[in-house]
Amino acid sequence: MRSLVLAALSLGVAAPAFAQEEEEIEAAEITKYPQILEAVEATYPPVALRQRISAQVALEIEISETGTISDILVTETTTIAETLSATTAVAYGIVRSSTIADYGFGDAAVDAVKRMKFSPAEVEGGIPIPVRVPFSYAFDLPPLPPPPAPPDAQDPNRPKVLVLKGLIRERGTRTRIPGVILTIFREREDGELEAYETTSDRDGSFAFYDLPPGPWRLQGEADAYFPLRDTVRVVVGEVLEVTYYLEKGNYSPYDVLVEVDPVKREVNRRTLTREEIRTVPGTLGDPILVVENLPGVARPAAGSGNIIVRGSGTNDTIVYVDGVEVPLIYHFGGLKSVLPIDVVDTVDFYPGNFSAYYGRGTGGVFDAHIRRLDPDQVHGTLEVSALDVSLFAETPIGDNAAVAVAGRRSVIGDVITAAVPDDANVGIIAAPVYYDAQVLANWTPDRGHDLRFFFLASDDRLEFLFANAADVNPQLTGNQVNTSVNFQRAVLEYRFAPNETYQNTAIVAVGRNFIDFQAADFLFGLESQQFQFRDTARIKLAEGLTLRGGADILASITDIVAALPGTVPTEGQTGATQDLQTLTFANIDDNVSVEIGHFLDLEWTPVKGLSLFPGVRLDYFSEVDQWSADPRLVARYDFSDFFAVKGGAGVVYQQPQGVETSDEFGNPNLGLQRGVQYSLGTEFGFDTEIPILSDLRFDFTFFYKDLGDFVTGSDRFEDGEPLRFDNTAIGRVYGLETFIEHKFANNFRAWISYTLSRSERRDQPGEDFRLFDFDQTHIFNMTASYVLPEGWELGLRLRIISGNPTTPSATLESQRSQFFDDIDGFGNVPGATNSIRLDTFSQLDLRVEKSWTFTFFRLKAFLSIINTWNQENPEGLSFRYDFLDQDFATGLPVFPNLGIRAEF
Amino acid sequence: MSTVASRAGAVAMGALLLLSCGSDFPERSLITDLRVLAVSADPPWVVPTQTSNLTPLVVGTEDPTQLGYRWSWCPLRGPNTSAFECLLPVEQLNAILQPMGFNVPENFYDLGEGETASFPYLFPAEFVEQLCLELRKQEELSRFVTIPDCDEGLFPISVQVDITLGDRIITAYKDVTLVFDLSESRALNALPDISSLGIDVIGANGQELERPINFEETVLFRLGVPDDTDPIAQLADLSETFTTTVTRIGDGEEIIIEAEQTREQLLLSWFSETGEMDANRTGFIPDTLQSDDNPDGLSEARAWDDARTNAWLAPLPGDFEGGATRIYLVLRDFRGGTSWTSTTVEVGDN
Repeated sequence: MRSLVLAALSLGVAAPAFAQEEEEIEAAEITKYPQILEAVEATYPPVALRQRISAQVALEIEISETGTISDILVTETTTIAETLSATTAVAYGIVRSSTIADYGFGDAAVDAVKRMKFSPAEVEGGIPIPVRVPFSYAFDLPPLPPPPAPPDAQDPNRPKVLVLKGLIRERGTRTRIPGVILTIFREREDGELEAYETTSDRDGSFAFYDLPPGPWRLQGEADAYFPLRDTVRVVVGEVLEVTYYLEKGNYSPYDVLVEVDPVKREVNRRTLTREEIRTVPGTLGDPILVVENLPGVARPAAGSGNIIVRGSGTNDTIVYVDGVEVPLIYHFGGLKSVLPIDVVDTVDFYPGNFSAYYGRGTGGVFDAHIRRLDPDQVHGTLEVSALDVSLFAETPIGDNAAVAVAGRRSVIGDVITAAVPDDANVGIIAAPVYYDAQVLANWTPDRGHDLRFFFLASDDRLEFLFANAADVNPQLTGNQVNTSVNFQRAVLEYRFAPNETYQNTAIVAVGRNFIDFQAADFLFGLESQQFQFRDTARIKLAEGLTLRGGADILASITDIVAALPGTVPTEGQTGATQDLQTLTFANIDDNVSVEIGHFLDLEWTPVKGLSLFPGVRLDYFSEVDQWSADPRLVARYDFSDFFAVKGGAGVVYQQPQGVETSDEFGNPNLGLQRGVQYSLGTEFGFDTEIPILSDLRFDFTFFYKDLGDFVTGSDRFEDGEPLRFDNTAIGRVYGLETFIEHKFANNFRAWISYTLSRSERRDQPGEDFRLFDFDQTHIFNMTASYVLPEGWELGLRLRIISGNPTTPSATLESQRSQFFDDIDGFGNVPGATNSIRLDTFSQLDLRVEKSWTFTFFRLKAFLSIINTWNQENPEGLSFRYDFLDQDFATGLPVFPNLGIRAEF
Repeated sequence: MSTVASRAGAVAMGALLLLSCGSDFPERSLITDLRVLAVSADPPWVVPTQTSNLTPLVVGTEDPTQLGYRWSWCPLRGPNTSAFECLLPVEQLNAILQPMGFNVPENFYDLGEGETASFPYLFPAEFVEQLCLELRKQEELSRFVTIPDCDEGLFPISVQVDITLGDRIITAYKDVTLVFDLSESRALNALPDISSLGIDVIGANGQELERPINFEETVLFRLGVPDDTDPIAQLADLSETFTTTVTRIGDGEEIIIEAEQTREQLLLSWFSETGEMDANRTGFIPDTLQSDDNPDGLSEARAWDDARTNAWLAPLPGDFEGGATRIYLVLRDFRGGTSWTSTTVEVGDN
């Protein structure tokens, strides 16, 4: 594009060039004015050209008697903006700025004039003289090129022209946000509003087509996010690409949506989500520990890693991972379970009366559901705390698959090692350490087909050396203790759901369990190959009638080598003294154990609101060579969304522990143990708009459990051999579970669970019932979390629980010590089993979390304080060396766990 | 997973976590009241016609003449859940033995009321063997009590002494092993006698302390070695080598039962009337010695030095007025052999 030069020379006001000649010049009349001999075209200032600005530059130029330019002065520049219609300006992308002074017109004019050639002015007689003359240079705009042809709106086949495409992500997590409603609009020249709307798709992207050029306002709205507001400029022939990071109005952990089976086949099922679990105070973000806060769950002894549900034994509650049994629940010390929270979506807890899908345990059931991966890109977390370091990373693979890896290593062991004083009677060879690692993958190759894979490996190790073993226990014949426990599981799940009436899920799990424990002369080694297969089919027979059935097979091949004290105390035998010097040896090769289960149940809704779930489970247990049939029934009537009654009855059988049926340590003729469970309860809320009340849910459930044929230690002999154990024990457990929940609303979530319970056992016929080891009459738990502005969240947990029953010392009561010279020790004569109770347990745990949201990641710092007021809670009795004095052995003191977590 | 395994892990972890935990109870090494520190049976193993002399080590009383004693024995003592009662009263013993022609008097278990007692093995070895064999058949009597393996030819009986001082009663039990397999290859356990050995007091310079111990001073007590004896020889004398049937897990995880030469494990229990022992017990544990299986183990000399030495922190001036105080050392060989020695040390300002 070139400028147009107007060389209109006006010399009517010419003046003499030099002052000393002024009089002479004035005296002489100019007879010929300077003429342009050679014009030069000025360069049109590009900014002015783009903005369609023309100009008139006024100059004074001094032309010598030879016609050369001796001086130039810009006296004035007048710019003129071309008058354009809005349509034209938009079409050509013309945007004007008012901040540029003369756009460079003056300089361009001077540069051009300098290079021009002039004839000199003359006076009478043809005498050339120098003159100073005004000169005007005009910059004229070239015409605009023709505008692009408008698309033919009537042509349905014409290609749409993409003018704007974008991506919506969540600030901090970079998660793509689907479903954001985007509106783009402008006010046309005629005053009408022109607007278009679209919605971000599942990967958060959106596009607008065929927008006329020009400025547009863009607005985006998504639930729980701050609104998007922006102005974009559409330019002809260009595609504008934008990415927006929407900030969540509230990064509350409770906003997470999870897939929960809506059918309530059980009287009580509590489902906890990953983020709920992570932020509950006092449980260190552990998916299993958190369940201790729910009704029906008693408090285990600190560090024991036990789970006690509705007064059942520590081995009576089964832990599943997506329906697959796992052999070990907790790492050493019971502070963390083997499942890190990042790989879990939800945890379902059933305190009793569960469906026929589950079996083999007369206590409760935990089923942790592994996270279903659906990342839009690489995401992950990194967490470092005083307990452990963990990492989780997930990535999509194509459109239908994703994979994740996770790992964790404890650091608490290093802390303990460092804390052991140099002069302590112990040297730690290998710090107590646990590892676990997980691999997750899911793939949906086609509609109706879903494949999932999960691998879990866990490893716990500890090795230490007593400097003076004799001072630990005079019966120790060595000074080294080492223990290593690890297991691996690979789980493959295939779900086939071709339509809404049929669905089949098959799960295959293989793995290995390994234990190596040595302490002085004691030894226990186990290596077991594990296999589990579970297939579940679900058929919708008619509206309101669905049949579910399947098989659940568990098999193992186990090698065991052991040198252990001959008797293993059972529940209720804690007062008995063990003979640690007489060892029993065992070497068991290829012990095959098979458990075959079949289950069948119905989901039947005969009338609106009434749900019936009859079911039956058949199990075979090869260790005792017995079949069992477990009938189950759960019924529920929903009077409304706010009121329901529910009840259930069912039978569950479980086999004795492996050690109890072994030839060497137990009684191979033991039979199955039976539990009959009953529940009756109600759930209700308030159909009201009143805050707080509307968010409250209540659940009251009475329960009764009848235990029969339970295994207990036996004095009896049969055919000259000690039975060691028999099936003579019975038990009864009854109580009331109360659960009051304030669902997350107004930044607040809380629940109160209270269980009133009594659990009793009778070991032998004719004896009186006694209290169960972990009978806790009152179990009160309260948790509350409040989400504050600026990324703060506060939480607390308060626990007040009856002390455990314990067995007193008759020696203490009689004040008569009994000394055994040969072991240099004193004997303790126990009083009546579990006839006294320890003091009430109380504990307050606090949790504070602060999170920061950056564009590409979030950072959280948290402090969990367990046992904030450092309550010395009794966990058992501790006696003086001669049992003539006693004290309480107390549990964990105050324990702060500081950590930081990055989510990207 | 096995209950045993999960408990094993919990026990190991619990042991470690509790390292720093302590109670306010006095250490068992501190004598604050009437105590029986040991009961010696000499010899600990007896053959027919032999008598084992029983002597208690009673401390913590200023007037031993006020003590009362009541001695008895029992072939089979019950566990703690039966209050350590004798499971075989005389009537029941006779009921078992009468078919074999044995009959014992009513006071058969009575050993008198003296400061010491004697257990005379005056009945024939067959009596004991028959008793052993019969007891193994007596299911009801065996209630969680380990019945001796009669093939071993040994039958431990339990001697009981009730020691009274006013209202107080302390009961002490001591096993005496009756040998009924009288084959010549049978080696009897000898008493590891340290009664004639002294306890040396070692100062901070590693030399024997020639002066009274200062308040709050830490010294070492060490079981003395006679001048003409090498410490290793002394150890060999105290820790006998004997043959026993050992059950163990082999390298291929098979169970091996075989006769094996092994050393006695020695346990040394330390007691003081004041001050603070560093360890209540020290010990010589053969399994911790250096060997092919345990290259990091201790040498015999080092292990014995560690076992026969203990540190002692002398009391604060406010806790003890100064003067003489007794130190006791009891040695056990874990086969019934118990012996002791003691010394008096002076504590005060130098």
